[in-house]
Amino acid sequence: MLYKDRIGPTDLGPEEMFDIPFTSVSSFVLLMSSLTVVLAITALRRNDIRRSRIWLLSTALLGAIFVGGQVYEFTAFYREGLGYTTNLFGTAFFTLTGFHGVHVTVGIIFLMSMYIQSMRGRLTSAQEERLEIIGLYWHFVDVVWIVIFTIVYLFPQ
Amino acid sequence: MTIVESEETPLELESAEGEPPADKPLGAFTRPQGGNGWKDWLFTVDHKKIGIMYGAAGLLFFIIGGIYALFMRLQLSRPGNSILSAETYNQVFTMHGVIMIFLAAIPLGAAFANYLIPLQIGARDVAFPRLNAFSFWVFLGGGLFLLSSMFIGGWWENSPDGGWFAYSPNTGVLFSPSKGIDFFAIGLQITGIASLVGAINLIVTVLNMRAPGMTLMKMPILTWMLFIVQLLLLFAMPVISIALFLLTFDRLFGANFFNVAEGADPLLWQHLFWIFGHPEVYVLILPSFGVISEIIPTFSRKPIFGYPFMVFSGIAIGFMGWGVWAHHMFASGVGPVAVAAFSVSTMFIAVPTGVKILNWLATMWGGRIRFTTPMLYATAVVAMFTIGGLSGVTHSLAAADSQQTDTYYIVAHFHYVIFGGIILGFFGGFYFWWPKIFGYFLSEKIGKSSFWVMVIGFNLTFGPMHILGLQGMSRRIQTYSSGQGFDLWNLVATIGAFMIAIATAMFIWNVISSRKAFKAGETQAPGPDPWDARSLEWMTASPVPEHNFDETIHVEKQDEFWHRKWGKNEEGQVVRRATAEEVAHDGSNTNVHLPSPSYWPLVAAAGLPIIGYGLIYSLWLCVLGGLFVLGGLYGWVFEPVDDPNADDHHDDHEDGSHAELESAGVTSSGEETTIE
Amino acid sequence: MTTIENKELEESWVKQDWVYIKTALILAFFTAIEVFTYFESVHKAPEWLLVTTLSFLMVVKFFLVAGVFMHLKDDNSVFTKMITMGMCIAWPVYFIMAFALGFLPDWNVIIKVLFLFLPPGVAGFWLGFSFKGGDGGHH
Repeated sequence: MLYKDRIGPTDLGPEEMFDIPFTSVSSFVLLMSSLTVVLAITALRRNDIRRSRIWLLSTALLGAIFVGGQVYEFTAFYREGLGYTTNLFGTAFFTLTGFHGVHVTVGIIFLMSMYIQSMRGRLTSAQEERLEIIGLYWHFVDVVWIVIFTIVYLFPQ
Repeated sequence: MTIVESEETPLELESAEGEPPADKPLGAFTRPQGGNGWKDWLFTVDHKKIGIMYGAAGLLFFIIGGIYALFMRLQLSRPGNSILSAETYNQVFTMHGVIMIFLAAIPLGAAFANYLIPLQIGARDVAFPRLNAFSFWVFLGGGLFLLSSMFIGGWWENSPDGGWFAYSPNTGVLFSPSKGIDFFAIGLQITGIASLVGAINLIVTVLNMRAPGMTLMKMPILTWMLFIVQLLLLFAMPVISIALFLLTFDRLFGANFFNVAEGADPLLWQHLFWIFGHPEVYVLILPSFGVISEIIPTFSRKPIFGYPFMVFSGIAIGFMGWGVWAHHMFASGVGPVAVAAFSVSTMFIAVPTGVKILNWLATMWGGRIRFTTPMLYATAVVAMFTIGGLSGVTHSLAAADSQQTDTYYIVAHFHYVIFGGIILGFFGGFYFWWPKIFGYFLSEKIGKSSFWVMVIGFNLTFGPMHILGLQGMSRRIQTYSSGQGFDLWNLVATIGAFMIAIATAMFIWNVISSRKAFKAGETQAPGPDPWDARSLEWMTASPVPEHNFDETIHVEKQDEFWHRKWGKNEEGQVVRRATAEEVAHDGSNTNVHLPSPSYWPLVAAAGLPIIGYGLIYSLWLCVLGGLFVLGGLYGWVFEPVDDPNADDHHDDHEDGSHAELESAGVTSSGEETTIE
Repeated sequence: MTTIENKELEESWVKQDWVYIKTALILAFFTAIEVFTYFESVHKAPEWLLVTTLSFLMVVKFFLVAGVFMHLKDDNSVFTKMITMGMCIAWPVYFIMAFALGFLPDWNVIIKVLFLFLPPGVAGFWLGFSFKGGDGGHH
């Protein structure tokens, strides 16, 4: 739908390249990471430091799995011939999902920083607001992915 | 009225508790203290100092951009001239546009916003003081980055040359091989960050930090206009950020966003740029509208006529500004339906501005007008902007615009609204608030004479351009052949341009000589309220003390300060209730905690231009710049909001040495600066 | 800590955070439907049905996450107004630009797009946002 009439007949277009089942799994993973980060925040609010740390680590882990899935997808596309500069679809796709992946990575760095702070005993319910802000950032990343996944991957071409 | 629920002890956020931070959390680097030396300007988080720095930088860039304009005018003063080659001329007019809009007009607006918004709403500072400092340093870095293109790689080799709106695919690698467009894209990306961050800061400030009793509809018009500007910036800056990213990736990494051969749309850049570009011009003009909405009531001794209409027309301008962007694209082949639709919407947007013009006139009507220098400038804005607005309405007719576009008629239009509307308004604002900010008057004599030189020069420069445009002189041409009838008016325009330069020099002279005269005791101190003005910033000493107000002001009416000085007797006549000196705070309550200075914003901001140079020249610089940014951000985040070393009771003094360690737990939040 | 206290702690956090877990389950369910449409598209279900369903689900998920996880529906209404204002500016601009760039070449396409996106968009917004999951941890 997005690239109709813009890229000619090619075997390097969206229909041919996307592996929807694979991407669905990584989408699901990211969605669940939104849940875990909320649980981390509520646990911290209750001063359940141990549990908040567990949820924090899970969120970072799930995020890392998502990024890993993206990296795998990118390298698979590249091996099949779709590079960044190959055609309009390649450019647009890699830029959009690449920027998203960078934002997820930054989020993982945030989460791990908080995890390290927690290990050093500096993350208590008094710093709840800080974690909540990071949680909002993480949800933003997730929400953008919801839109990207639907429009880029799922809309019939 | 705040949105965030304040707690019982508003000065102590929960997050401030916990382990008391060490007094030297990062080893050798101790936190800077307050005071007035060069370090205090470098590390300040005080909105007033930041506002002054924005103003100084904006004025400096205005002069640089003006010098570029003088070169252009010299080149065009005679047909067949060869002062500037064609390639250089392209760079000069591009840089003139970019500097004037992004490095002069926006920062001057930011200067007024930063200095005056907290004062006008009765607050201590903005919502996020360190972020405010970050904004300024990022802007300065980006501006210097842009200007450095002038001499890097040789004089005038690598400056952007694609016009200030840099249409792609023309600005892609194929047609613009020099590094100029890279400087353009990355430089504007950096200054864009500054604007966006500042917008968020000021929106939160206006929504959260108004004095008790000040509802939104009791705010001064200037604050309202600036608030709308920040909302416009919030939604418009991301669009240009995206466009610049696409351009940068096309140029640096071979992306295909503007590559027509691969299926890209040749109009994509134009749409993206103008979706940003049109709200941008309202970002430019609304601060000036706000400034004259403060000056005119003061010097007409009447409240602004139709306050709700002024507010709602400002909101309407902001909202409708999103629906007119393709009027910059009438000649680019968008098709008759789009052209017709945008033509109509452009005609509509003249209406709210017309409402404002009529309201200003109605404010002056029947008032006891004093034509001081600021009032002269404000009146000139009303007149000049009307002229520029009328030529703008002629552009809205797409059929007529097909003749006018890319001629000097357009140049005349936008200079009348930009210079006549924005710059004259800002100069009026300078004269109006100078006594408040710096504590001495600017000479009225020099002010009035420089005003006339400026206005006459301005009209001589841009008035004839209407004629030139309609006679067919195209814009952005390096020279023209004689015998087309362009010679006389071009010469007149050049003379006018030099008159503007003289007027600007007279302003600088005014600043220097007035300060000297004041220091020598020849002029009087202005006191808190030299103009008998209406809003809260006049209710404190001049220059404004570091803590702004001595105590929280409870606001009951719009123009609260005015109503404390003047009331009505039984016959309905206006009688004085109190003198300004009685009502205004004298700045003596220095027992106030202020947000501590910090150097992390500067560190983080310094990394961005380094990343910029890295993108153009060597990716290792990107790593270095990235380290600065990352380190700066981490240091910033983990720095306690207030310096535990700072002695609470002397934050406001010039003395800079405070070595006592505060007792744990009394670290109050400087980020939420409710006064109590 | 005794085992009994442990168990109480166990129970209580699941109960307290039940809203979020419930929301996550709904989100997972919607994602499953979305993925199902992919297989349906291969089996040639009509395009308009797929696009409508996908748009609707996308908007519902968006506002579920924004409303519940990001507690937008529990915050001061100014923020809701701001995001609505942003959406009301952004989407019309987007569609005008799509039109001007030739993505919507004629009225048939325009009407199709309007019907495909507007109703699901509005319905999704209303549904996702007014999700009554209970008190989302009011603070």
